[in-house]
Amino acid sequence: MKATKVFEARDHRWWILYDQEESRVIDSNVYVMESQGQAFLLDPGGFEIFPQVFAALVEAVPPASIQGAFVSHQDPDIASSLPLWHACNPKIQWHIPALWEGFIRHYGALEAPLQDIPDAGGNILIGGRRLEFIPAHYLHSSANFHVYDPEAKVLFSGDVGAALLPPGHGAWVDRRDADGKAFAAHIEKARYFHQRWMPSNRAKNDWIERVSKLEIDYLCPQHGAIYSGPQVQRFLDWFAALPVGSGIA
Amino acid sequence: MTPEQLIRQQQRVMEVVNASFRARQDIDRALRDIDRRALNAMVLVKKHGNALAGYGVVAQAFRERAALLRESASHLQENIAPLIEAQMRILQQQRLLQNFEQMTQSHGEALHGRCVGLKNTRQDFQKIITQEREDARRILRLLLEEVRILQEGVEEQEYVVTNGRIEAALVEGSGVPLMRVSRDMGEAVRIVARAVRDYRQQLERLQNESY
Amino acid sequence: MDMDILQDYLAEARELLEKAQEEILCLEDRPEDDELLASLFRAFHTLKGGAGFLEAQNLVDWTHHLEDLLDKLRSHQLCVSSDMIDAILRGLDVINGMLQELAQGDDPAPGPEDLGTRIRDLAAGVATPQSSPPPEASEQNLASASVEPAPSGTLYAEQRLDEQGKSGVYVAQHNENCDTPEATSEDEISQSEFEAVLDQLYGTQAPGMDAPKSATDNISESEFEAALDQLYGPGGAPGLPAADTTQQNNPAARMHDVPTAEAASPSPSTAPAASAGEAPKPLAGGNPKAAPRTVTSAASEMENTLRVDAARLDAVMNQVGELVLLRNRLGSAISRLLDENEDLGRIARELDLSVNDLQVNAMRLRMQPCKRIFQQLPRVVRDASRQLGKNVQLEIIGEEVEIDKAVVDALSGPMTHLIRNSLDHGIETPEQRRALHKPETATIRVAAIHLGDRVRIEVSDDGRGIDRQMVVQKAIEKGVLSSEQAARLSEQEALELIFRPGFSTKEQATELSGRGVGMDVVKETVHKLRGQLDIRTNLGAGTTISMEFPLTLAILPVLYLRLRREIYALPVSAIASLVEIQETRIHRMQGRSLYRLDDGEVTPMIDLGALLYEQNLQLASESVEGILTERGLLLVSEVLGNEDSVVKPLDFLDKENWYQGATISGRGSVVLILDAQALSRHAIERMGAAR
Repeated sequence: MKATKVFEARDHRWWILYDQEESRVIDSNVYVMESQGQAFLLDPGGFEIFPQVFAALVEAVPPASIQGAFVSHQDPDIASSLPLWHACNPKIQWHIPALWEGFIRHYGALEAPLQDIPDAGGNILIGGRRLEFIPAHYLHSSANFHVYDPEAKVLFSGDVGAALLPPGHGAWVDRRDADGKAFAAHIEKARYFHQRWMPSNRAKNDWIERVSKLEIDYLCPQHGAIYSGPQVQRFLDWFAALPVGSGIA
Repeated sequence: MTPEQLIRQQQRVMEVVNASFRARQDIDRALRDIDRRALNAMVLVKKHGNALAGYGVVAQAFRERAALLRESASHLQENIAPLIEAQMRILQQQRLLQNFEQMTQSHGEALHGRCVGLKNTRQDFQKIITQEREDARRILRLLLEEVRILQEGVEEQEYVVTNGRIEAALVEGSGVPLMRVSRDMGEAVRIVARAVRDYRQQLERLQNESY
Repeated sequence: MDMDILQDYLAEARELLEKAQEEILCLEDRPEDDELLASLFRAFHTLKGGAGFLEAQNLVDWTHHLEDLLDKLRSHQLCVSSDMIDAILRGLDVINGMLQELAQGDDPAPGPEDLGTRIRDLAAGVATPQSSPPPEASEQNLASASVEPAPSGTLYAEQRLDEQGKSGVYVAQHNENCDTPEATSEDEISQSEFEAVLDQLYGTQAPGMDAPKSATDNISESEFEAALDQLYGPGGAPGLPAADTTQQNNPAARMHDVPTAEAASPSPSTAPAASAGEAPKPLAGGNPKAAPRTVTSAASEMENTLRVDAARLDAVMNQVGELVLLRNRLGSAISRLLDENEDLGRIARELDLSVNDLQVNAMRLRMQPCKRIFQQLPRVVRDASRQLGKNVQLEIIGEEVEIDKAVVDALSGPMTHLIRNSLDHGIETPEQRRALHKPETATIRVAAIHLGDRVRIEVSDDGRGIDRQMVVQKAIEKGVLSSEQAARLSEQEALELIFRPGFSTKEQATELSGRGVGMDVVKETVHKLRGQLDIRTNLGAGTTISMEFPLTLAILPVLYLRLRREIYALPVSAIASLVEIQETRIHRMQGRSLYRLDDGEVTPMIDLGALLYEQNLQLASESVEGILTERGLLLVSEVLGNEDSVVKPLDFLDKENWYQGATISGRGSVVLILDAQALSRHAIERMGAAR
């Protein structure tokens, strides 16, 4: 896996660890927010890819600097590495949806310090910078959060915006995409994922309304590539128009 | 290995991981600094035409050496990630083994003793861990070799710095602050030397305590 | 007309003119310097001869008048006066004009009649109301020459040792009644008399002959001729009829054409008389010791100097330039080879050295001494100071410093302008200077100084200096900038307003310093020659304008730098040092960004990202490095390395841009070369506009 910077302003950085070398499990991105030497991990990934995620992480930040981690929902591609991280750094505080606490401990981390996020969301301070837990319930998990960094204007959007890309993919949806052709090509790889994994149009519309109020320069999904600049609005428009819950249609 | 040993070993690995990060940053920064100082010296010399040609040769050598150092540093860094990954695979496998043993313990020794499949599985786990350790040791040896090459490069660079100081003394009357340039270069090289030495000590400690 | 001959003649004639002008100005101080007089006479004679060959009759006629006048002076029938010098100088200007006409392929028009008449009158010894012969001229002459007093118009010669202890011959002709043209007849000596003198005198050491050969022999006429041939080229000996010259070129025949008092009494012996004055010229002169030396140096120059068409030199330089670029590319390609072959590497390094040497030597081919820029200046100072009634002494330093021919060629106009400007605006009148307790005679100093791979040319005066306040006020009045912009200018920037197009501090541009088109042209010229222009002034004490040029314009050492994804080059000469940017050292004041350097000094910060891409470099989120120049700290993404490059001009860009050309990098790509001065100027303007 590779590490690359998403955002940087002095001692405030966002990193993406992407393009994993194991194709038997779903390709996942792991994000790191760094502020004043303290790091925060977002959706640290599955048990199987932990060694490569960890090696790539050391390209970005020293592991000792990790203060906390965020788990958007209970899926194994997101949380099953928890015991390994805990073994490496037992001081990491884990912020997880309150609803899933008892489930997540099943991954084998009975002692890990878990902090529950209530349904309404909340805030956390990392290295003097505030991150917001934005409710995104039913997208796709019944208790589900995204993370917004108002200073960097980064929205970590979990499974929303996810696309299934082949090995060797880049971190970004082509940023020189003036006419939107690259976006159009990319979004085809996201369509089925959203139609089938996202269960509720109501939840979707609620989320779009909530997120549209945020200023977003980078929309960072847990699978696929980052939407930046005008592509963010393109994505929101596309998602708003997309009927979801196709499993029972 | 006892659980305490495991924890200590895991701590040692994390120390090396964090030291790797620092070493990489320090070496990168100091090498960039060396490169800029060498280029600075070349520009100064070039500005003064043929009068400082002698120092120009030194500055050129300095910059070429700096490029070589960067190259060997990048080889070194290429091997850091695999070492970390190998160590983490060991951690991963130990975790699986640990889960397995917890399970067998909860089922009782009797069951464990009678079931050939379980016994084989445990052996398989241990075999994988042994292989991973072997792999990690191999990468560690490679890494130490890269560190040795980098240290040699730094020594050669120190030699060039000394030459530079002599040349600078010869043309001291030129009004170009070459003595200062040489001193700054020496300082930048010392930073690299220190960073590499510290890193080497970390790696050697890991190697010596290897299980 | 044979173009080759014409070109040769033009080149030689221009050199002669330049030399003549210089000598005339010296003549003002040393009116009885026989060597000068003889040299001047020879110059006009040679000019005339060549013009005759080219059948430029008006030029022949014109030089003839001047030659005649000089002949009279040389033979001390007349004495030098400043009127004469004025007339001769103006006469030179006319010749210069005629040469230009010739160069354009035209037959020169006749010279101005009034000046022609004036010169003829002067030669005839009439109508010289202001001329008063220098008192005791002949006595001085005698004293300096330490020759026994002799009857007027007689040729005297003696053998004496020069400063190196070699024996030389000193020939002098004295004329006690120098203001009486009637004395001419007494000057004459016959051919045989002359020969006898020569034979008698040249006994052991005929100049121009190898000493051992002539050690004991008396030389024959043919040997003497051969010696002259050696000096001047066959048939070129001034004043001597060469074997194949036509009657027209024969001095004797020429004399008959002269409508002067002298010509009124033609006699066959006139010609040898004239020759007598000229032929031994290398031996004659106010400074007899110099004579033999002149001969030897002239002889060795003759053997070691080639006159080469500048176009051929340019072609060589261009080819060397291409070779340098190829060398760079070869070096770059070899360094990229995975397994660098040791032989290949060594060959590349040797090639590198060879090309460097070739480059240096080719560069030298184009170098000329700054004397060529400076030699016109005494005349400029003389004319202007007389016209303005100011007393000015011109000091010239470093004439021997060499610089690229392109600089020499382009700089004479700007230098003249700077001198005139200084005289007109800088230097006070004698009364003002007296009142200020300054020496009445002002000094203008012109200097060429060798600085490593650069040459600085300075023009400084001890005049009144430049009042910045006044400059700013005028600039605002003339709409060069707004008063808000002006308020933000530093003192130096205010001063530099005088280089803006259309700026002139005098309400009414005087005839001398032009019509406000001066300083910007100076600046433009310096810029085109890749020089740096700087001005320092001290109110009440004087002004110095300095121009720094690279030794050669053909090769430009550059630093490659990266600005985001683009590569640019910056001339190394513009760089003071490379700087690691530390955010805590950045200060922002009044819309300007400043950077505090190690030594505590503060310099303007120029963000190339903002300037070239309208997008500031983000210190917080991308790599930023600093390049310190004289005018400020340039921010770039990364400094890459240096290389000797060859400049290719850019001619498709707007006049106002910040590139000074393009080059081809070692990797074979075209890279634009930034102009540090233009960048800093532009950055300052932008900061003004942004507010």
